[in-house]
Amino acid sequence: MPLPPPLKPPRCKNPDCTFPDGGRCARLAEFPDPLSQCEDLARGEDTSSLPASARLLKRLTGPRPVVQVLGLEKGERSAELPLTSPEAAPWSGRHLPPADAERLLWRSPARLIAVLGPFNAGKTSLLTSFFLQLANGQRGSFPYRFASSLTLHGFRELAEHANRWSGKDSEDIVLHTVKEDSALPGYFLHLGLRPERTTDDRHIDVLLSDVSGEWIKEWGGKVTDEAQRRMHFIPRCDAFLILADAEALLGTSGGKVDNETSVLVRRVVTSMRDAQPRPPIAMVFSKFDRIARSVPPPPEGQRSDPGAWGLIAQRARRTWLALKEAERAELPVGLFPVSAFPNRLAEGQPAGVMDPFAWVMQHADLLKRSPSKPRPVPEKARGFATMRRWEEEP
Amino acid sequence: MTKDAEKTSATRLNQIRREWGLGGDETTAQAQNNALEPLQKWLRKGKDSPAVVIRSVQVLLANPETPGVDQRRSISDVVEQVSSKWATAGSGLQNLLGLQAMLLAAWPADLKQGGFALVPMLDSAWSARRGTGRHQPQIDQWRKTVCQPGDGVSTDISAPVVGESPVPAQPKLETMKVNEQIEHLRKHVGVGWTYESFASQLVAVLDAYGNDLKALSKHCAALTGRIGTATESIDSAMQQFATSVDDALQKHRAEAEFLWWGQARYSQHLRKPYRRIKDPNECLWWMAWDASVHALGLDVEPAASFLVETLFQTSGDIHQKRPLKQWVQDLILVLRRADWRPPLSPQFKELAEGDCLGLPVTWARLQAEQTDASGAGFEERAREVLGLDLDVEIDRGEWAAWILREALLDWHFEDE
Repeated sequence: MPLPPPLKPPRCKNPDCTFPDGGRCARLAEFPDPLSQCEDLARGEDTSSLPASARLLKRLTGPRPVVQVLGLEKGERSAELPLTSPEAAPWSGRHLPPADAERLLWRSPARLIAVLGPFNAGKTSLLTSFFLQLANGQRGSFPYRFASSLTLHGFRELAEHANRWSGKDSEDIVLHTVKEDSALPGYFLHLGLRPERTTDDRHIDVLLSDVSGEWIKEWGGKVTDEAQRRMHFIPRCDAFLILADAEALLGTSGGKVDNETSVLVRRVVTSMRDAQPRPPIAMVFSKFDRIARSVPPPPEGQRSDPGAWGLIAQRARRTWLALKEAERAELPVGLFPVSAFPNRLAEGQPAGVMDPFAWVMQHADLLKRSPSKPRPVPEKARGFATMRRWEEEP
Repeated sequence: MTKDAEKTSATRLNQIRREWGLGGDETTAQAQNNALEPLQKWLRKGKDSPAVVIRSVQVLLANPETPGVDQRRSISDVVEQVSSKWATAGSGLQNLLGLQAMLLAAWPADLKQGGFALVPMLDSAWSARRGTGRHQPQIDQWRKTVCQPGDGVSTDISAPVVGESPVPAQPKLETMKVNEQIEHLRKHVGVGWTYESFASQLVAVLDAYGNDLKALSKHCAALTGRIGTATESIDSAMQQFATSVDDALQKHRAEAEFLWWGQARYSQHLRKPYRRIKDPNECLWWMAWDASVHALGLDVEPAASFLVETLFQTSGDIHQKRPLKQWVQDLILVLRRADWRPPLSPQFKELAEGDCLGLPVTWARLQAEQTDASGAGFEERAREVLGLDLDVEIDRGEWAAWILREALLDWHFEDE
């Protein structure tokens, strides 16, 4: 009599379940004996030799709407995550899709910050470096503490990839944010912040957009319907970070970068001309460490002076004009030299990363006291009844 | 509630959604629109139920960014009204900002009487609430609307205009007309009227008189009825007139008493002039409290203004600024030291114990009752319970007005 085939280790399609790894069944309340009862649990392909993260991804793989997952080894870049599976957890911990971002906006006055810039401007690197410093308590000028994140997994993947960067300019520090065609794109990173002031006990939700440069370019230039749909969140934004690659500006493609950046600034100005209050634009010149020898970073008090930016101001002439237009439209404008990853993660000393975030939050988190309302005097009132507030007196 | 009103609320909600940058899928939007109707119905009950108005204003005062704000009684009270139509309204911190948008959209701007007349008494707390530039304009607009005096507001103390009769115009009484047929005998004089025919003519005449008497009697009955109706109308109008005169007189009397109080600057409770009270915080509390006793039937804002003027004339220092938390702390100490503390009305006390958001004076009065409570962690407790920015600097005059408004709120519940 042939022996029965050896039992293969169990695997579960529920991403919250740790039962196959010796943990707890996610549906223990329904199935007291998960091994014999739980329908999510199956014995099949032996995946025990794979690393835990790869096993998890394999479990999650399914023919459903997908999002691109960053931070995998080369060759595994297009792993798919089911988003609408009834068994799936209600959130993935990766980039938030618009619907989740919308839910967040309904519950609190979340600050939405658009991080825009041409392809390869360093948007995702800036976000990664910002998160790493914040989570590590190196807040610098940023007057908020890290409190929570709904996209912690997404940040972790970005950080893991950045950690694998060898320091060579030819390699990507973080993976390029793909121009995905999914119906459910996830392009917001979330941070929960606590103000530094101990008497301020608020928990502030901040949404940071992480959209591919290609979509941003389409939105800034041709403005296709699809780009408009992808960038529908722009009118809701409380602040803008517009990035331009400082090294590229001084290089052979400097004119192109300048042109693309200026178009983007003008597009933002057009979109926000009637917004109240006017959102700030932080113009970030990224990868500044690579040009620091030829253009020293301007001191903080002189950043609004083009002369202090030397070659950068000369090469980014159109961008400067667009920023002047923004100022004329009463949008606050700030300029920042930033180096998100000057060296490998283990050695690197990022410079100026927190400054643009601190500056935009000054505007986005500007709270005003409700003014005293002038009380109208009722018609026909005489004498005593005409007395009103005293605060308005000089 | 009319369809127009519903449509207006839905339109207004859409406008707020646009201004606050709230999108959402169609299902959610539909659920929220459906939830507007029960919310409006509930809000309209505020005319007879002040608790509804207080809870609604508290929800608008709540800061959605404060951790644990969803655990507040005021929030759950409002969420209960909409949860049948909008399932996610009350789960955790979900949609609190959306709930505030709905309250602003559904607020019955036409109602300013009954419970809605209490809204100006809750106005102080807005000075200790800070909001973002995106959300503030709608809140400010709402505040402007609710503080506009409406028709027949209870606080309108204007005197009746001389020369205008308060009695409504009555329909003119019709006088009875003479029946022409009573004279019909005359028409026989010229056509050979004879004695023989007199009997039959007499019968006819008597019949005619009989008919006339019946008609007369009918007319009399109708006239009696009309006179009765007219008398009732006159009586009712006279009663209304008397009531309005009495109200005006009472308000004038209250005004006069309040003005006398302001001239005398004498504390009835402590039996001494305010200038003899050494502790400025004690003086402030008793002045504001005594003022509330006299200002009960008066418009809040003139009363607050008069109180501050009186305070200025007594101590001169109304512009001294201190953080809200210090004013609250000092009030607790003053009340604890006092021989007698005015008790809170039972209904208002219950409401405040459920949720004291935006009511620092009431909270201080509640704290003062717990004489064994230690002062440890005062600031944290106050911040958590009051949901306000306690570091906001309030001047002495502003704080006096704050005490007056909350004391008046308490008095109104006492009257319920």
